[in-house]
Amino acid sequence: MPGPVIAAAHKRRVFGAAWLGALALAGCTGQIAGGPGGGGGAAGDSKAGPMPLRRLTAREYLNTVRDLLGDTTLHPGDVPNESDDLSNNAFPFRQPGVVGSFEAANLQSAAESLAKNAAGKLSSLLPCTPSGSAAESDCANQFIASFGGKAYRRPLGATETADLTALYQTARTTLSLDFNGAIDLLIEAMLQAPGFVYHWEMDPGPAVKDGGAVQLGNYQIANRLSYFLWGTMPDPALFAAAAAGQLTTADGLQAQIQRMLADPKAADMAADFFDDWLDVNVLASRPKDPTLYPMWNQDLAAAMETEFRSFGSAALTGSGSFADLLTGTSTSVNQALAAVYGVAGVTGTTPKPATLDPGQRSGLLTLAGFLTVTGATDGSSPVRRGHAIYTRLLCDVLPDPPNNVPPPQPPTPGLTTRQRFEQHDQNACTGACHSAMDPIGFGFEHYDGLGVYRTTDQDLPVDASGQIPLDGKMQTFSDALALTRLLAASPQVQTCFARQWMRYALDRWDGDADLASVQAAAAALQTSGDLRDLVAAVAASRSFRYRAPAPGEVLP
Amino acid sequence: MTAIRTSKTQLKFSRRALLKTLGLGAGFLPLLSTERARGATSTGYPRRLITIAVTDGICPPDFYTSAGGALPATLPFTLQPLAPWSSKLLLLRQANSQGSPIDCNVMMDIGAKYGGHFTYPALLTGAVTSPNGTDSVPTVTATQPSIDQQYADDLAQNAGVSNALLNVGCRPYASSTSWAANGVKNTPQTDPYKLFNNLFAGSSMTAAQMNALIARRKSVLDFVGGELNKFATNLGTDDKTKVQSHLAAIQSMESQLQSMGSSTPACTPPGVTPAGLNFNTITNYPTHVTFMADIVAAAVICGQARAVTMDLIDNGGGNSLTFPWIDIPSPDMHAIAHQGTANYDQKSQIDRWFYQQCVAELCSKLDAAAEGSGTVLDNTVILVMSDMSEGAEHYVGRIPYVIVGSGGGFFKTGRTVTFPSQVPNNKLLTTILHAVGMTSVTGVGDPKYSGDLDSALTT
Repeated sequence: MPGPVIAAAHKRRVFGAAWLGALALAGCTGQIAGGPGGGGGAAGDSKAGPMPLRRLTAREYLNTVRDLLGDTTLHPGDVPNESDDLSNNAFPFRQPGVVGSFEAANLQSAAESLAKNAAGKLSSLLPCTPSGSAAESDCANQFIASFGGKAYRRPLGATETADLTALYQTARTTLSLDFNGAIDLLIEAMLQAPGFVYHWEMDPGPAVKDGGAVQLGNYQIANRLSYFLWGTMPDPALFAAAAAGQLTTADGLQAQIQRMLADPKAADMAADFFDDWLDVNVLASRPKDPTLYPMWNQDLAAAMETEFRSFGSAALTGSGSFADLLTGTSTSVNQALAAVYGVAGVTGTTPKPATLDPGQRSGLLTLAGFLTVTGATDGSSPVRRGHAIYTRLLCDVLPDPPNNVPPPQPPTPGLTTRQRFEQHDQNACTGACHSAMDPIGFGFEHYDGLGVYRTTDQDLPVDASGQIPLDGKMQTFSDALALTRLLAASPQVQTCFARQWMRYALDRWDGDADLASVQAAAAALQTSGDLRDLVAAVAASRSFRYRAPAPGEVLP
Repeated sequence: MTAIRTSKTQLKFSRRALLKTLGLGAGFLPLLSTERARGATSTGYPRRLITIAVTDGICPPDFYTSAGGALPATLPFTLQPLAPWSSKLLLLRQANSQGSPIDCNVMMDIGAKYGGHFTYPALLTGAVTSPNGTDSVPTVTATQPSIDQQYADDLAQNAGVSNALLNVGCRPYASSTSWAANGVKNTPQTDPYKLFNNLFAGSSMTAAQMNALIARRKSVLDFVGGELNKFATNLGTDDKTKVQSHLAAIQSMESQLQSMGSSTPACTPPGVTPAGLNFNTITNYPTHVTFMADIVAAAVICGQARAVTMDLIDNGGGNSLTFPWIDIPSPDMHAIAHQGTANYDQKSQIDRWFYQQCVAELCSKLDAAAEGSGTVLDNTVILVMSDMSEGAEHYVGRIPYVIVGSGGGFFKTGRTVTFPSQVPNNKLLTTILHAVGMTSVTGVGDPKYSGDLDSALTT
C-alpha cells in the first residue's frame, strides 16, 4: 500500500483560469487534501464529511422519470441542468446548482409535460380501479402511498400524505377535475415537490448518531447507492432491502452493491463518470479550424464521445482492469471515426468492434475524444493535455496565471508545436508552471488537434518524449504509449483515481475526514487491479454511509 | 380577459425577506414609493433596461474616443456598427489614459485584481465574494441582486409588472451576470426556440383554457410552496438558503400567474427560422445571436420584458469561439485575446462583430418601433460591457461599459464623458437604476461604494 499523496491544503488565493498559454508562478505545484474548497473538517472532529443538499441532476431526473413513469420524452435542456465549470482547479464533475427562477420554471413545464403523458396510462400507475365514486377517495389514498413512495423514494410522512390528500380534494372540488384528472394533478405536483426534486431521502424515525457523525438510514443509503451506481431511483429489490433494514448491515450492503454493479445500468454510470471526468462531455461545442480539420462536424463529435463512453464503461463491465483502461486498444468505431484512427474496413454510422494500432494507441488517453477536447482549434496543445493529466490523474493543483503572460507563438512553418511551447517555457514568467505541465503534454505530440496520429509536425519529425513527476520522483518517457504505462502502474495515479471516484460518488470535494475512505478504496484497486473493486469500496466506505450534521441543522 | 389574482400563500420567504436574509443591506433596498409611476418616462412610456456582456476585454486604441464632448464623425473602429445611433450613444473615457474610468473595485477587494475571467457576477451587482477564498478556488459569486433583478423586483412590487425579468445567453459559461440574491444566479435561457415559445406561444388559448391552466398552476404552486416551507424547517443554514431560493422562485411564478393571458400591446413576434439548428456548431453562432437579439427586441417592444440580460459569450479562460464568418477560423477568441497588442487586428474585428451582430441589431429593431414622438430605443437603456479591461491583461479595472439610449431623456447622449479619475462600477449601476426610474436608490452593491454618476452623465 503506497503512502497517501495527501498534504496540507494550500492556502493561497488565485482566481484566473487562463491556464492556456499562461501559467506561471514559482513553486506552483502541489497536492492538496481533497482539493479546492475541501470537503470535510479536520480529522477526528466529525468523523464524516458533509452532505450538502442538492437537487437531482438533469441526467438523474431523466433517468428517474424513465423508471418512475416510463417516460423518455424529455431532454437535458427541458429540466434543471448543469454547466461544466472547466476553470483551472474547479470541481472535476458537473455539479447541480441552486433552484432559481429558471430551474423552477423548467421543473414546472417538465412536470406538466410528464403528467400530460401519464394521463394516457394511469391504469398502469394506479394500484386500484375504483368501482364507483365512493371508492375513489380510497383509491386516491392508495395511489398517494404507493406512487408517492416511489416518487419521493422513501415512505411518505404523515404530513406529506395529508397535504397530498388535501390537494386531491382541491382538484376534485375547486378545480372540478374527475378522478383521473385529480390523479394526474397529483403526479404533476409530486414531480415539483422537494421530496422528488432533492436528495434528502430521510428515513422515518430519529437520526442514528455515531459520535459527531450521523449514520445514513436505509432509504438514504438505497438512494445514494442507486444514484451513484445507476444514476437513477432505486428498483423494487433495493427498496425492499431498505424496507428490511438490510442496507445498514455490511452483508446486506455488499450484496446490493454486487448486484447493482452487475446490472447494465452500471455501464451507463461508468460512461458518465469517464465522460465527465475528462470533460469529453463538452466535445460537441469545441470549434476546430475547418481549413485544417475539414472532417470536424457534429456527427464526428458524437462518434468520438460515443466511443469514449463505451471504452470507459467496457473497462468496468468487461475485464474490469485498470491497466486495460489506460493501455488497452480494443474499442468500437464507426466509419467516420475509423478514418481518424486509420482503421480500414469499417463502414456505416453504427460503431463496430475494432482494435487500434498498439504502436500508436494506448488506452483512454489516446482516444480521439480526449485528444480533441484537449486539442487547440488549430493543432495539438501540450498545455491542455498536460494540464488534464496533472489535475485529473495526479490530483495536483496549479495556480492560475498572473497578469499579462504572453501566449505561445501561433503555428509557424519550420517550428514544431513542441518547439513553439519550449520557447514559451523559456520565458521566465511562464516557465515555472509550464515546466510542470508541458513536458507531460509533449507526450501526446503524435496526435494533432483531432487526435490523428502523425510522425511529423510542420514537416519536422515529432519528438514526443517528456517527463512526469510520479510517486515522488521524476520519470521520463518516450511517447504517450510509455507515459500511459507509467500512469497505469503508478500508486499515485491509482490513489488519485480512487479520490476522483469518491468525489463523483459524494458530489463534493473529499476532505480530511474522508482520508481513510479514500485510502481504503485505493487499496482495493491496488490489491486486485479491478475497477469494480474500487467502485464497490467507495460505495461501502464510511464516507458514503455517514455524514456530518450541517451547521444549524435540527436532527430528527 | 380577466386575470386571476392569487391569494396570499403560506410562503414564509418573500423575495424581500429573502434579500434581507441573504444580506442585502437595508439601506440599499430600493425605497418602495407608491407616489410615482414606476419605471415610466415623463410621457408615460415604460423604461427598459437591457444589458449585453461579452468576454475577453477590448482593444483600447479601437474602442475609446480621443477626447470628450461630441462624438467624432467617425466612431472608433469597434463601435462603428453603432454609427446610425451615434446621437443616442454615451461613451466614457479616462482623462489621463486610454481606457475606461470604471473599475470593478469589489473584485480587487477580494484579491482578484487580474481575475477578469470571473467578473460576470460583479458587473451588474457590485458585490461579490469568493467562498473559500483562501484556497485556490476560482469561484466568485454575487452577494446581492443584480440591477436587472432589482429593477424587475421594483416593477413587481410597485407597478404590478410581474414578468419584467428576462435572462438569455448564447454560449454562457458556468457563471451569469444576473443574480437573484446572495449566491443565487439567474440561469440564462440559451435555447432561442424555447425562449420564443415561452414568450410568444400560448396566445392561441381560449379564455376558458387559460383560466383553467392558471387555476391548476396556482393549486400546484401553493402545494409546492407549502411543502418547501416544511422541508426547510430542520435543514442546516446553507441548505435552508438553497430552499429559500427555490421558494422565492415559486412565489415569483405565483405572482406571474396574474399576468398570464392578460392582453399585451399589438406586436409582431420575430421569426426564428430555420428550426432545429444545432447551436454547438460554430457556424450557427451568428444566427444564434441574431435570434436572441430579435427575440429580446420583440419581447421589450411587446411588453413581455423590461429588465433583460444577454450573456453572449463567456469562456472562463479556456477554449473559446472561433469566427470563421469573418475569416478567423483559428485560433479561438481567448487565444487571440491573450496575444494582446500583437493581434489587436483580429481581436478588434471580433469585438466589432459583436457590436454589429447584437447591439446594432437590437438598436435597429428598437429604434424602428415608434413610441410617442420617439422610439422604444429612446425609452431604453442598453448597457454593453466586457469582463475585463483588455484581453491580455485580465485587469478588473478600466472595465469598458457603453450606454445606448437615454432612458427616456435621463442621459445626455451623443457624446463622450471624460472622467478625471477612476470610479467604482457601483456608482454607474446606481445611475442606471436612476435612469429607469428608481431614483431613491442611493447605492448598488457594497455600501462603501455608494453614490452615483448622475451629474456627469445627465448634464
